[in-house]
Amino acid sequence: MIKKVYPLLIIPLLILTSFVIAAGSSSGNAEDREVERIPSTTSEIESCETQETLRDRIKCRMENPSVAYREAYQAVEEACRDNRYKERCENLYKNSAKCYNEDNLSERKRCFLNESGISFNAQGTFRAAPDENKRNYVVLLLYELQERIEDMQSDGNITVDQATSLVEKIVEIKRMILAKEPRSEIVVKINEFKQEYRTVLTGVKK
Amino acid sequence: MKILMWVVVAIVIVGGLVWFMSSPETDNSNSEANSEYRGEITESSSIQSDEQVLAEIDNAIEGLE
Repeated sequence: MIKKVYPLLIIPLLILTSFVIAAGSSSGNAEDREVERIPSTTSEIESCETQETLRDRIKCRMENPSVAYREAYQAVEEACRDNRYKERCENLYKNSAKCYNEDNLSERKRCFLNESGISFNAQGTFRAAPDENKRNYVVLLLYELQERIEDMQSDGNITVDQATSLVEKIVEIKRMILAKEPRSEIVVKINEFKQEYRTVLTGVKK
Repeated sequence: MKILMWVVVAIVIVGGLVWFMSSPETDNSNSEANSEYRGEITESSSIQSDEQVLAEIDNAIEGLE
């Protein structure tokens, strides 16, 4: 009797088990799939500082504007992360922040010159200004260009990858200038940047 | 005959102009004028367009020691 009951119990058990497995692995339940997917698509990145390379951090900020906005105030500017010139660089950025709010570009340029420590009063010339002040002025001009590239990206005129590559080069040039690297080396890097910049902008409608 | 003479005169004038425009002396005077400006920033130079910003950067870098 027991020998006959065992197969009768095992067969329904196997059938029930197969139903349970089938339901668990089914792709038919769209609602369940959405629930599973939501956390991965809407999960906000909390910081781009965790990214290892400069390029990844720049790209991350472009893809996450709210993080970029927060880190603009909380994190150290990418170009200023070398202890040799960190304080000087941060002060330059802090003091010149008001220049970028100036809509009139002639006034903005005057503001850059002032904040760089360059004065044309008393027949002073740019060439005669201290080298450090001239380097400050180049850094502020490069940041101006960086802002314009970021605007082009957010307006959809260039891709995130194109903007990332250009901004990465700008940051590298700023670091070279702040580190007082020779002009000949800076010129090579600037020429590389200009070539890429013009290539990218060739297809952009203004 | 007259037509041929005018053609020769025209060729001589145009050839002379081309030679004058492409002579090394003329090129030197232009590059001297540029080199006087290179490395010097003035208050009046514009940063309106991106190309003007690039030119201003180039010029400022030329002025570095």
